[in-house]
Amino acid sequence: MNSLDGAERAKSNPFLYTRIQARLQNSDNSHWTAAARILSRPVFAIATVLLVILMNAAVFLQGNEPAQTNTKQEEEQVFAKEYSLSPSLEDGVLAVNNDEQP
Amino acid sequence: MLEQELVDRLKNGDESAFKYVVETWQDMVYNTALGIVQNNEDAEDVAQEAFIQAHESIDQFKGDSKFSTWLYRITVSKALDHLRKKKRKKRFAFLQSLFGTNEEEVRHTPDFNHPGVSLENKERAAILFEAIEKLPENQRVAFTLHKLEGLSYQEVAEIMETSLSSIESLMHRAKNNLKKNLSEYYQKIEK
Repeated sequence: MNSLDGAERAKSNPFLYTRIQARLQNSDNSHWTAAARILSRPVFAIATVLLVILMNAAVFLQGNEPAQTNTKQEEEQVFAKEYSLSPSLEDGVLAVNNDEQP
Repeated sequence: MLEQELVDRLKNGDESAFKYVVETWQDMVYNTALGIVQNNEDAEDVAQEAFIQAHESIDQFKGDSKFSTWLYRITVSKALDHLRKKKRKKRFAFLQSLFGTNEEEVRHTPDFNHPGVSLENKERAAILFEAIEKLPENQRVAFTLHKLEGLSYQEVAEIMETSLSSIESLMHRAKNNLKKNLSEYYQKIEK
């Protein structure tokens, strides 16, 4: 337990000040390094993955509803083409057809 | 140079004052860091980081304590941060080794030899350093500052921003833990 009694202070590197100066100068112009450090953090990577998953989920959930209206529109377009209806006529005929239905 | 004058010059960005600070306290900072991290290269890194931190946050120094006390606090905090980072790396390396992807092995140096310890005490000091490594952080810091830096309990209390009685109890527990660890070590050897 007393083996550290009388131990002398360890001597540091005589070029410590030069090294500190070099580090201070490097840190002054290393905004890109700081940005890279933030980007390479695991938290950032996990957050990005979660964001991508959430965006995919949102697109998937929203994508179901417009798909149905699209098919309806497509059916109308096919019908209009089949009977060579112009866009203005098409609206009229479809409107008439809709009116005739009980 | 008076301490107040030195601090004023540092706050004004005087580089010669900063050079004076490094040259005056570099051994103190390095020795403290070495006692805590127990590795020469790591201690130099910690010493550099401590001086850079002091350079960048000199405006936060209010003069409530001595400049050297403030520098000790920064060094201790940086050394403990370094140890925590190293522990995290070790845990991550262990996880990587489970999946067989560990390329860089984080090694622990069991036979740390402090350069200031006399030759006849080298072997016993290396065993003591191993036991110190197992102490809780605050006991480790208090013991290192008292034994390696030769600071009084009062000075250790100022650095650790606690009361004298807390340091006394911390040192008492540290010594008891060390005795326990060392007796276990010698019992293992005898077997």
